[in-house]
Amino acid sequence: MQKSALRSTAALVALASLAILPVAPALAGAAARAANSVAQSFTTGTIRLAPLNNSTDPLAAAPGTINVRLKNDYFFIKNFGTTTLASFTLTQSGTPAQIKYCRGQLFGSRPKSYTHCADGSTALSLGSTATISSPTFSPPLAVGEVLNLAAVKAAVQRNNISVRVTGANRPVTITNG
Amino acid sequence: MNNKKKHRYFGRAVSATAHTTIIAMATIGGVTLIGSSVFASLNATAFNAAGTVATDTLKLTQTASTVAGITGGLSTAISGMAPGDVVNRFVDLKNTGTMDGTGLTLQLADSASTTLTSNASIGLQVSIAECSSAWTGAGLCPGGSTQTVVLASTPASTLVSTPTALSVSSLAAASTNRLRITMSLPAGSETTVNGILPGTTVQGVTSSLVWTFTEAQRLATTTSN
Repeated sequence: MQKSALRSTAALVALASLAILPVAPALAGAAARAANSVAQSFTTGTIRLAPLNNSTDPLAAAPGTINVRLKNDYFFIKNFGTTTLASFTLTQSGTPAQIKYCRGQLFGSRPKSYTHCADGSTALSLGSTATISSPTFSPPLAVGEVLNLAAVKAAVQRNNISVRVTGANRPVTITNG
Repeated sequence: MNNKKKHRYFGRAVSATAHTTIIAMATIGGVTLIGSSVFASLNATAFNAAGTVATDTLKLTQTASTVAGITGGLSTAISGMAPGDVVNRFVDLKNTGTMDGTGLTLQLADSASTTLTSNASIGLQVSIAECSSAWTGAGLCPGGSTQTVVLASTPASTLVSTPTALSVSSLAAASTNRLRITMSLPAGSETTVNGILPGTTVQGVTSSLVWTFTEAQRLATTTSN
């Protein structure tokens, strides 16, 4: 190696040393730490609402978008999640049907009805638009609760019905612990 | 004729050269004796009266609030949290040392590394408030007390990647900061359609969180007196 190259190398080493030196004092000094003694287990739940052809169907049997073909037809929606739901959004394709529901009971069967519930009370209306925001249910839809709905139309036609939920459809939950 | 002068030592005649050598050795010996004996006897020692050097300590502890109803702290599990939920936990952060602290930071670690702690938009959000007195069992800062923001809402992913500065009222020795740690999941960030969860979701996951608060010692000082 030539003398000039040796000089350059030596200069670089010296500069590097000088650059490191000022850092060392800055790192000196005490530090104190406090951490939780036991790692905090943090588990999340699920928000799941699905339409069903039969009220007892499991989630795996949920058809995704449900297809109501008749002039008047029943279907169900069930809360498959782990949290209660205060509301949901329903969308339907085609000419919008009138969507009615009975909570905690089926529609009347004798005589068969799409407008009255089993106890004779008038079925409640969700609306008749392509996109329906449900009212806020009180109490909210419990985990595992099934809602009986009916699509009431003026004529035979096909409607594809979907439901969707977000965290905003849940009751506000603030927990202090 | 040999006219060189002879010197006699112990009755024996010696040459001039030998005489000179004897004189030189005697001189060196004398100087050595003076150096080792005479000067050593003049040494003096001064001692200070025994003095003590004591150091301060820097200690930080994190304990769950002892107020009934809000004693969960950061070790008790949180389960079933869903988008839109808010969970508050209450801890007392104490500087139990004798030295003032500075530069408090918080870092989060998740051994499971889920979307909760890796996704800034749909994952866990953390904010921290401080109350100048103990939080009530209902999670409120009592009237007459002062509530301040220690950490504005921050994605947990940020706290995992970088220690984040916290702004507390005091880190003086023996001080206590009463903190409310708010954990939330954004309400409208995920849409479940027909029971099918989004492809990327915070739903149905489990994390394991370690919350680490760190403070540095106060600025070093130089004292002359």
